[in-house]
Amino acid sequence: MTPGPNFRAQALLSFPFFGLGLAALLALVSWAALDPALLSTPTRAPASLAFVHLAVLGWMAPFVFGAAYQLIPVVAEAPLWSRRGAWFHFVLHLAASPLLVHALFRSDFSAGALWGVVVALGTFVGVTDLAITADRRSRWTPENVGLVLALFWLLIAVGLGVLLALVRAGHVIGFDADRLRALHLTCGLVGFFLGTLFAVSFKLVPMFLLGRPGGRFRQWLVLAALNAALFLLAPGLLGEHRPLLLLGAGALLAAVVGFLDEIFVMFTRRLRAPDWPMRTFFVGVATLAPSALVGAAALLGMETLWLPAHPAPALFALVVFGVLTPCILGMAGKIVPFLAWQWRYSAHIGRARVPLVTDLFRPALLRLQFLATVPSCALLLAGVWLESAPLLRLAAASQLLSALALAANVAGLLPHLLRPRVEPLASAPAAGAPPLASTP
Amino acid sequence: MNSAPPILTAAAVLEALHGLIDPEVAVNVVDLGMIADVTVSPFGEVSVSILPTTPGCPMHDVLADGARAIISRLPGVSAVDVGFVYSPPWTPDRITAAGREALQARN
Repeated sequence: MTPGPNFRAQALLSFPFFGLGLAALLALVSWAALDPALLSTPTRAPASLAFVHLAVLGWMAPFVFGAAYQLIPVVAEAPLWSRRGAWFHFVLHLAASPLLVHALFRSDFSAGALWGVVVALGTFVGVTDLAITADRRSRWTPENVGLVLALFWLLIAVGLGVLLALVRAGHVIGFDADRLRALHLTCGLVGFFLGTLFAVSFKLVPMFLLGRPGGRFRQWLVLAALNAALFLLAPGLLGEHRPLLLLGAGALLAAVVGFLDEIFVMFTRRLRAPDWPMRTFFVGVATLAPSALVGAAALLGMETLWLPAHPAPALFALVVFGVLTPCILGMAGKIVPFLAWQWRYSAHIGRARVPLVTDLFRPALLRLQFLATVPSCALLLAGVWLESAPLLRLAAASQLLSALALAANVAGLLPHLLRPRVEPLASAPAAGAPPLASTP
Repeated sequence: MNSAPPILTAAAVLEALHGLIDPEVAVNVVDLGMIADVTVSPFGEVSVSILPTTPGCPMHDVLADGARAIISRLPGVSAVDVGFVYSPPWTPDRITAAGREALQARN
């Protein structure tokens, strides 16, 4: 077996996605720290629209796709269907998404629609590649089915985005832009990103904690509730049909409660204490509970109750920066060094002394990432509730610190990539050297 | 002077596999309970069955390759076959006391 070349290709595919995502995250949280009103104002303003799309297309989508090109073959237990298709996806996304964000910033919806079509084409190629990969072994597991459903909602969200831009530009008439926008946001954030989070967690949480998997029946129920919620909310949002919205919000809350219960069960069955990246991940999971309440309020238009005055932007801020960003940052702390290790060290295991995966990222920076994430989420919650610019600015600054810690750790991988630390089996470790893998 | 090579046994193979450390968990594969079976033929043919902790984890192919490399260095080995079994599935109960201690130490 020669694992080296294959892992090299895998890493070379995912790292550009990660690099794009990380650069966008640094720009995004810096922008939020400079202008915290972006986290609490309605998303119709041009700057808010650009900010939202920088978050989704610049930061989260590339990172999720970079991970998906690794994880979906793992979940499906089959090789990626087309590596060339994945590269095509990356090139289209890299070329079009900055232009789309720029067009939205200038309120140029005709250009937005054009670049949106290019982004949609790349997404379609990527989704097709991943869906075929997921289906190769036809394994009907909750994580596999959950990922395919998440990809389905992504395509719907992208299609709605293009339609929305055409409506805004006046090329298409007969649609209510506000209703389309609500559905576009719901399909993207809930259908794709939350759906992916749920499905991936079912596989990776027990794997990283060395625990027993949770209950399959409960996992199926969570997926059923999430997707039922989306199928109820779609006509409910388009037709402003309150009973459907009520049912959809109820199903969404049930899905979130079921997911949190499943994570709790997995957590209690663990053999391994969560490391810093997993703790960062769990901060995001914990923020899901208040975010779901705000989500239900936003869907039902409960602006005047005890929830934030503007639930829609509050929901976006909470889901993106409170839930998904910590979850992605946490998983990045596991996946990125793993890919680098596979690329540079996997071919040597059993033949030479090589570092452990956990040696590739500095624990102090991982701890800093966690310690910056906790106040970031707490300040964000308080900030969106009170619509307090100073609190939101502090939340963004804290998240910037967390992102910088990840960036520093990623930069620290370079020596391993350029000059791998491989020692002969017989040699004694240097004084103070960390433990190495494969040391018979 | 006795120059006969040491006798190759399943126990010797298992002992050697203690040196194969899962680089993500930092515990060796034997104490993780990932070695389901080891057989050694009188002709030095070694067959090892690995029980993956999570089906589909890409690290398992790497570990299988490492196991092959380690076993093939043992004296008296003529052939090595490393495969996977999935049933009954791996559970944390398979982790040995030493493995649990190692996990606790890293926690």
